[in-house]
Amino acid sequence: MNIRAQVSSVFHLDKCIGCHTCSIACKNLWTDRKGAEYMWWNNVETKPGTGYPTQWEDQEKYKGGWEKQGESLQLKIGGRGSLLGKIFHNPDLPTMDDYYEPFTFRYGDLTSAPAGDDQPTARPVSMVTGKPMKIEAGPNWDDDLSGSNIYAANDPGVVKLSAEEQQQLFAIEKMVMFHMPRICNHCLNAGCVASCPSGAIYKRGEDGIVLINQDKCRGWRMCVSACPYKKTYYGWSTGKSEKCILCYPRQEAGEAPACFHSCVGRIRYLGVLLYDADQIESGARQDDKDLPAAQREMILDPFDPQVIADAKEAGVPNQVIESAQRSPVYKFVKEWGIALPLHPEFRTLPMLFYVPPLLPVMSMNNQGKQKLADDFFTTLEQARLPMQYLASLFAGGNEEEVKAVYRKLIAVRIQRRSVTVGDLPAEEVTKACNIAQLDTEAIDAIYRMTTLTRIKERIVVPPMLREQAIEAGMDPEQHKQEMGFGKRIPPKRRW
Amino acid sequence: MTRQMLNCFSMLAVGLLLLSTPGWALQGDPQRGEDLYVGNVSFSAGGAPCLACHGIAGHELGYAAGANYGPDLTAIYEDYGEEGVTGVLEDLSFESMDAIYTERPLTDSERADLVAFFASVSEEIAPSIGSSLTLHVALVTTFFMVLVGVLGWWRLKGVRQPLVERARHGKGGTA
Repeated sequence: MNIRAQVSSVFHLDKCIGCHTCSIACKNLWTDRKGAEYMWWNNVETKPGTGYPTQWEDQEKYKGGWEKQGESLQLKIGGRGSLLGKIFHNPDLPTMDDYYEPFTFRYGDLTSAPAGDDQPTARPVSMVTGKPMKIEAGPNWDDDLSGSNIYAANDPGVVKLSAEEQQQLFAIEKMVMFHMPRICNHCLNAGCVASCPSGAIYKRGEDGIVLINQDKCRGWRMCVSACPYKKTYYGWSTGKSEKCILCYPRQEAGEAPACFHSCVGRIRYLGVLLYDADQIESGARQDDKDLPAAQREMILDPFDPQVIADAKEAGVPNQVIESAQRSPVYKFVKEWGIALPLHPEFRTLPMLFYVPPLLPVMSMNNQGKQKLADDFFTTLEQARLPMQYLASLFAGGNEEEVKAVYRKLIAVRIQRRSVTVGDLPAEEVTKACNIAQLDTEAIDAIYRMTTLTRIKERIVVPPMLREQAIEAGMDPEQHKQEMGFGKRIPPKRRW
Repeated sequence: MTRQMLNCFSMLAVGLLLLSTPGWALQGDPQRGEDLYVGNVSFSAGGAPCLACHGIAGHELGYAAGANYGPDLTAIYEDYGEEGVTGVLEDLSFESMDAIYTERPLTDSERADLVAFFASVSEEIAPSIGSSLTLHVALVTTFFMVLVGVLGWWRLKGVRQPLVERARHGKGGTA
């Protein structure tokens, strides 16, 4: 037992309205600079769709994440020898077109154009070359299913479906979609960390945030290939790679990360999880279908006296344990079991979990008549979004995982309907609870957490205890006086 | 090719040449000329040895690199003849040589030795840069070009554009 703390999140996809406010908040705060124009540490994708960069989920193309080779795990881009062999010509990088060529408009022309017969226009210009360009792609080019005959049709999850299921997805009046915001998952078994030839990427011991040391990074860009979520980016001006830092400077000041703070739909939950680091290796080696369960297994109950004792033993401070007890993420993932990791089959053990969207699933053929418990559970198979598609997103292909979540979400709906409208017989509610294996209190708690909570309950920023982290390395007084001046010393690696 | 034989042969040639030239010319010693040229024997006035600036590729002197401040002198005797060469060494008609040898002039016998040496090497053929070297350079360059080409071929060459192209061609220009 080697207990550590990890700042983790849950995104509730039923609540996401796809407004991109999170992306803009992040862009304004972190990547509004030269050489970083194309980066979106936070982006919102439409599913089905190919996302950003195009078809990032297709690891046959991008070679991200881990592969099981016999009983051991290896990065899909190759082992250390292979990485060294291609250190000068990393072949597995997305092209600029796969992200998009960043552009702006010549707004100045609108006011400074000479008088003429035509309205002046602001021509689009490339932010790379400065020359006029034809805009052919963007970070959310396939937003709301636009260009779906190219993009949604080539979603790696859709391509795997049968022709019949694909037909069903795109049939007129049955088109279906949902939004999926993505940030760095701050994985437990991060591919980027493992691939870095310079040892510049590290997972912060006290809170599990994965960071790139800008002093040590040499710009080899192996992390860009190795991250299966394509959430590390190369900065073309600095010559260093960078990524989402989970707004740790904001968190250290007690604030929620910018994308969490600005979320209009209040879909984002944040909190600390205690997990057993000894299980990382065995957990990441499970079969695809068992990965979500293995990951839940690693997350420990912060109320269990034994866990608390072990955590203290391992050096997790009291305040962090208390924070873990208030963590909404623990409730979503472990207690209620309604949040699943995105693409667990990449085996990086991502610590950002998603509550799969119920609405696109439900709104199939229930218009005009109210469905009862039995109907819902038996019609999941004919849902508008095929279960197999959702399972390939959130459960390594294990449909049972996704169905278990939906049973619970549906039970919450049925109970709430019975409370607020009162048109359902009591036995239906009980039946739904039994099928979902949830008690009434849990259902109420899910309902409350999903709809009524305020920001301090949704986003429980743990005490970052920087003074303790600083104390471990240097005299706090010296840190106070000298930090920010001179050369920073990179963290030590143990290899 | 033994250098000795060549030297003998060229000495003979020089001798024959000298017979047909006016009597004031001194009989030079090509071996001493070479020593002076290379710097094994110093010029009496202390001037720098010729090799400091000139190579003689035909005699494998200063061939690899270095002695390339002045032109190669393999064929100087052939081109200018005895009088020409002696004249240059006497008059110092080149500015850069002027700076070195005005203060430290060569003696008559030294000039004669050098001329004899030049005469002896004038018929040697400078080894060409070599077709094998050219071949090697060409091979290595080709190898690198092929390597770069192959690595470029293996690269991920774009994901989005092919999708769009396929949709355009496959479905008749909807995109």
